[in-house]
Amino acid sequence: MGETSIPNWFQKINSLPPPHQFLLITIIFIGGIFLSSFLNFPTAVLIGLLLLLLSSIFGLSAVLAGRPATFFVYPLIFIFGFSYLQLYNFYQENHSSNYLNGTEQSQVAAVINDLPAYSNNSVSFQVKLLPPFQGKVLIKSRSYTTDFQYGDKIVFSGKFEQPQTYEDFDYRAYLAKDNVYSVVYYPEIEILEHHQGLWLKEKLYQLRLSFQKQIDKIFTEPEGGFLSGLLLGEKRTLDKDLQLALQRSGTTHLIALSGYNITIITEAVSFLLISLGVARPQAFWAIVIFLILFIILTGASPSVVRAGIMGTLLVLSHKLGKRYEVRNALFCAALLMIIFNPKILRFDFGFQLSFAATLGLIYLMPFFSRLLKADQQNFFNWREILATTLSAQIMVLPLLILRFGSLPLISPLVNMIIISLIPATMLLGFVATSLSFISLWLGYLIGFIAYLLLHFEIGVINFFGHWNLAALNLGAYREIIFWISAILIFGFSIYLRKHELLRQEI
Amino acid sequence: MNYSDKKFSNIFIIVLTLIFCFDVFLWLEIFKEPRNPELDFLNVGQGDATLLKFPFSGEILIDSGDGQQIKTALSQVQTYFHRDIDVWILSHANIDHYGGFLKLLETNPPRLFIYNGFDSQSESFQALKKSLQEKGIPIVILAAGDKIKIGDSHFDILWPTNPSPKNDLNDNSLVLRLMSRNHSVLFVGDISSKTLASLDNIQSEILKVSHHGSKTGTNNQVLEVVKPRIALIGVGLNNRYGHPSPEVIDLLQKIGSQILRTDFNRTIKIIFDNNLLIKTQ
Repeated sequence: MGETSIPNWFQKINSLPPPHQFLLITIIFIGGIFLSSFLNFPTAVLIGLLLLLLSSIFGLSAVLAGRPATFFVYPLIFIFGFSYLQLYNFYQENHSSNYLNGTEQSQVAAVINDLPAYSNNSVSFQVKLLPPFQGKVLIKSRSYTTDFQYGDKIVFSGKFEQPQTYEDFDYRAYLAKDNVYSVVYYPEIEILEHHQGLWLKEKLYQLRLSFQKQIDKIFTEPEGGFLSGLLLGEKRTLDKDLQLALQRSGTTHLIALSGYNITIITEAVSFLLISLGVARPQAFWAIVIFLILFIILTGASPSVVRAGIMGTLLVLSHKLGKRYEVRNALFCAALLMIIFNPKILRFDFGFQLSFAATLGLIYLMPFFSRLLKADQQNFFNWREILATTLSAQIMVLPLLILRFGSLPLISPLVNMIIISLIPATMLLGFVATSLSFISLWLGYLIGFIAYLLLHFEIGVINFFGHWNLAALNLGAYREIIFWISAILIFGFSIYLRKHELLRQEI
Repeated sequence: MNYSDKKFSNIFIIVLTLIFCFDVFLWLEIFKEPRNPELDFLNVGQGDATLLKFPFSGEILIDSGDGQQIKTALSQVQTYFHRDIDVWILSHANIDHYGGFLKLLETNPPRLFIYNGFDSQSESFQALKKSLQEKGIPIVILAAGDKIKIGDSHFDILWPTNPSPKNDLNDNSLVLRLMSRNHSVLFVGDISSKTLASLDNIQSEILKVSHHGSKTGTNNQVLEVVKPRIALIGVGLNNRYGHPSPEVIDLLQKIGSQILRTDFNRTIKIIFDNNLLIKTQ
C-alpha cells in the first residue's frame, strides 16, 4: 500500500479543479513564509538549502521512478515562500536606517510619510529619510507646538534609537513590520516645505482631518471618538477605560474598521448611486474607485485592504460573469497583501484577526446558520447576527487568547445587542457630519439621534466590559489554552466543511 | 393595503416617533436647568477641573486637567445641546491644570479667560495663549482684592498680590473663595501650605485640597484655619507621584472632613441648596 499511496495521493492533487489548486499553492506559499518568519537570517539560509536539497532528492527520485515532473512544484513553492520572506527582510534591512541607531544626527532631511497620530500631549509620525540617508523612522514629538501634516518636508536633529522590546509587547517587531527600524524621541524639528507627498493621498488625508474636526465639534466624548472609530477607523482618541471595555467585551473590531463597516459603507454608496439613476456597470466601477479612495483615506489598515480587495473581486466576478468563490477571494486577498509585505503574516495582529474572522464566516457560518435557523424571519435579524458573531468570534478566539491572555465570555451577547444598531449609527453619524459642513446646527440636530444610539452602544459596552466575568484571565495557561483552542477549532472547521459539503450533496 | 402604502405608513410612524422623542427631550432640557448653583468636581485623572453652574447666569470652568479626559469628564455633567462654558479660570500655568483648555479651545471656546498673569515658558502654554489671542478671547489677569460677581454668588480673589513676593508657579496659584447661598468654597490650585496659611479670610465649608493632596500643600496650620467640612482631591488612580499623601489624608480625617476624591468617587457633584447635596458616581 505504501508503494501506491503516494502517486494516488499525488494524482488526487493533480486532478483538483483549478480553484482548489490555486488555494493549495497559496497555502503552501504562505506556509513557507510562516515557517521562515520564526528564523533569523543565517539559520534560515541553512534550513532553506537543506529543504532544497531534500526536495531535489525526493523529486529527482520520483522523476527517475517515472512519475511526472510536477512533483517538484509543491516543495519548490514552499521553498520559494520560505526564501521570499528572507530576501524581503534582507533587502529592507539593507535599505533601512539601522546603521544610524545609537548615533546623534543633526539636520537630517525627511518627508512625513503617514498621518500624524496625535495622542496625549504628543504626536508621532513616520518619516522617509532623504539622501544621503535612507530608510523610515518613527518620530515622536510634543504636540501643540507645530502642526505636522502628511507630505511636510522637515529637517530634524536628534538621537536615533533602536525600538525597545517590552515584556508584553514586541515594539521592535511591530515597527519592523512596516520597515521602520529606528525611533527618534523629541528631536528638534523644522518644517521646510509642504506638499512633498503624493497629491491624492494628501487630499484624502485633508478630507479625513476636516471630517474628524466636524465630528469633534458635533459630538461629546466618548461618543465622538467611537463614531470616528466606526467611520474612519480612528481609535487613538478613545480613553483607556473605554478601550479596555471594548477589548473585554469583544467589540474592538467595530472601531477598527472591519470588513463589516466596509460592507455597510459600500452598500450605502451603491444604493445611493443606483437610486440616483447611475447605470449598473458604471455604478460598479464607481464603487471600485470609491473603495480604493476609502482605503487610502482610512490609512490602509489590513482589515480595510482585505475587505477592499475582496469587494473588488466580487465586482470583477460580476463583470466577467464568473462565479465568486468567497474562500478563494479571501486567499487571493491574503496572497496579494503578503506578497506586498510578507511580514504582516506573523507580526500584524490586525491582518491576522481580519483573516481569521473571515475564515470563520466561510467555515463556521453555514453550520451556525442552520443551527440557529437564521433564515427565519425574526426580530432585528438576531438569529443571523448571532450566527455571524459566533462564527467570527470563535475563529479569532485563539488569536485573542494569545494576544490578551484572556477568554472573552460575554462577547456574543454584547455584539448581538450592538451590531444591529451599527448601520443606522454609521449612516446618521455620516449624514450629520457631512451636513455640518453646510450648517453646524443641522449637524447637531441629526447628530443628536446618532448621539443617542452611540450613547446607548457605549453604555452597553461599558456595562458588560467592566463586569468581572466579562473576560476570564488565563494567566500562565495562556499558551497551552491557545494551542488547545487552535487545534480544536481547526479540527472542528475541517469536520464541518466536510459535513456541510456532504449535506449539500444529499 | 399594498406594499408601498405599508412602507409609507411605517416611515410615517418612525418619523412621528422621532419627533415625539425629540419634543420630550427638549422639554426635559428646559426643566433640567438647575435652580441652585452646582459644583462638579470632574474626574480628569491626575489633575484638577471644576465646573461651576450658576442658574440663569453662566458656567465657569476652573482648571481643566491635563487634557486626556476633559471631554469625557464634561459629558458626564453637560448635555448634548448645552456644552458651552462662559468663563475659564486657570489657577496657574501647569499642564495638569490647563491641558484640557487646549482640547476644548477648538470646539467650545470660552467668552473670557482669567488667570494669574504668571506665564510658563513651555511651548504648550505659549500655544494656548496664542490661540486665545487669535480667537479674540479676552484674557483677564486677576490678583488679590479683585472680585467676580455671578448671579447672587461671588468670588473673592485672595492671592497672589500684585506684585507677588513669590517666584514659583505653584506658589502664585490663584486663590479664590466662592460665596454662594451661604456656602463657601476655597480653590487654591497647587499653592504651598506656608503661603496659604499666611492668607486672611480663608475659612470655608469646602476646600479644593492643594496640589492633589501632596504634603507640600496642606498642613495642620492650614486646616485649623480653613476648617473644611468637605475636602475635594483631584487625583488619578495609582498615579506615579503617590498623591494624595497619607499624612494629608490623616490630617483631614483628624479634623473630621469628609474626603471626596476623583480616583474613588469619580465625578463629584455638589448642589448648593440650604444644605449641601452631594452626589457621587
